[in-house]
Amino acid sequence: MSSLVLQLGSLFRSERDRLVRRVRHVVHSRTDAEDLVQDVFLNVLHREDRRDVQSPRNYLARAATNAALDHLRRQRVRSEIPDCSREIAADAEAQQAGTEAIVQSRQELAILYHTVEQLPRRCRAVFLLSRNHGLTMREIAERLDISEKTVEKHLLKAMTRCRAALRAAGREI
Amino acid sequence: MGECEVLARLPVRATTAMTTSSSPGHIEADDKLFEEAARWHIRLRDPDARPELHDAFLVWVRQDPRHLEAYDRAESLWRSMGNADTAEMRRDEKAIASLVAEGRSRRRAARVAGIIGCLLVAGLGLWQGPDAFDSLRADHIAWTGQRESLVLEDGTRIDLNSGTAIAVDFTDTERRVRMFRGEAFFDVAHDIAQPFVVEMPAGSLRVTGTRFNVDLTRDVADIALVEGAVTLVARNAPDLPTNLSAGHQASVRPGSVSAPQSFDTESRTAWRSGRMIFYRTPLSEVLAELGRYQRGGIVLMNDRAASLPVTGAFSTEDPAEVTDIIAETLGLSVHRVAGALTVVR
Repeated sequence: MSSLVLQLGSLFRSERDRLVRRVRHVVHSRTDAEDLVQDVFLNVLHREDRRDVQSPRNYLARAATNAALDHLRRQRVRSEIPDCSREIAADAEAQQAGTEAIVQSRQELAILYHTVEQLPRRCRAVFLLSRNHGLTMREIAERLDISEKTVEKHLLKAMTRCRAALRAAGREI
Repeated sequence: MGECEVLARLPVRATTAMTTSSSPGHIEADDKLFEEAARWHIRLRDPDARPELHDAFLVWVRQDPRHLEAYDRAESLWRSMGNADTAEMRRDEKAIASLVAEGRSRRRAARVAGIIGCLLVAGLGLWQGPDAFDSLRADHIAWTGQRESLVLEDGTRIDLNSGTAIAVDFTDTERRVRMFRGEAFFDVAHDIAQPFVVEMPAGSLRVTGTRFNVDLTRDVADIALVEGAVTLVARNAPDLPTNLSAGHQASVRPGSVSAPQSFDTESRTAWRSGRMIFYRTPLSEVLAELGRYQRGGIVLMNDRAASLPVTGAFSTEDPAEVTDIIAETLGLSVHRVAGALTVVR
């Protein structure tokens, strides 16, 4: 069993209030925030990824942020679309997404592949070490003997270039 | 390659599209917002991201409804960027390896970097990373770790092994399948009027109805015929067809087709039921076969062990476990690097 699960009880005591406070930056109701954080802890038990986490505190912070963002997204969808049409809209969207995705994804893949390949050597290496090898920014900085700031700069460049390429091809992103 | 040409012209279209759709000022503001969101995404996805950073991030999210929207765009872009490479871009490892080596010479204390650098350089020989463009040309793909079955319109059934890409192209006079990489088992529906052709990098084969296995390794295609008859043609020797009869296999290379030999159907097609069967197979071949089922490849860094015979039946489900078992039996050690590469020595 992972140490995260074993420590869950003490983590709950030490981290819960802090997480609730943080989540409340974007979740206005106190009970919603508490429920949300409670779920974050419960989800640890159902985690499918069996690898152990390096820092339980960082892991929980991340999980809480994701939960808060999901909450915010759901809220926005609710406020944007009137109740009765939401289901119909979701259905239509799903259907359209299915067919469009197939056509789009292949072209998109080609554009992204091409763009990543054209990135400057060092920038591409940083991107691949991060995306494919799952190295942290600190690890990449150590391996390539550059600063973490530079690692961030390279990753940002990889992203903005890819975005520019997709936009150039008419994709809104 | 057609796709390449199209892509090379894209930026030109880009400028026109952008200037007509919105004002330059608007674009600039949007770029800035996206950049800000992307920066947050980069920092937050880092496993080392400290909890305090999340505080600052959520404050930023609250500032403006457009912030979350931009963050979502950044996240979705990052996801797509991951799909564009993963297993497909292994040849880039070469670039990474040389950069890592550079960093190491600059700073001798880089212990871990040295190990990674060596492994990557050592691995290059074995990495036959499938070309991303194969996946783009293909209609049917079985990604690493997957097995797929498909039935074509004529009733022909094709089983695709892990890491296989093919494209189906039927006309009135011919049933044509282009195979780019991997391994596939064909059960071709009988139809004399419409011959079935498999096109491979090394050559092609032609049948009217039969069952056979095709295994592509770089420029070599190993054809093993279970039933019926096929005609094999090497790419550069179109006038010298070789006929293969049931129970025989031959290797097609660009210049020639090898002399047919008998083979064991059971072990040759065991992958279709998720098994690998080896009988006194050299370790190097066994590891190459195992590498088919996992990302990142397996490198043997022990020349003397390469020819050690391996015998046994294993599941293709968990190649890592099989590697461990075999290594342990042979007294070898297994090292794994960031889930990307396995080294046996």
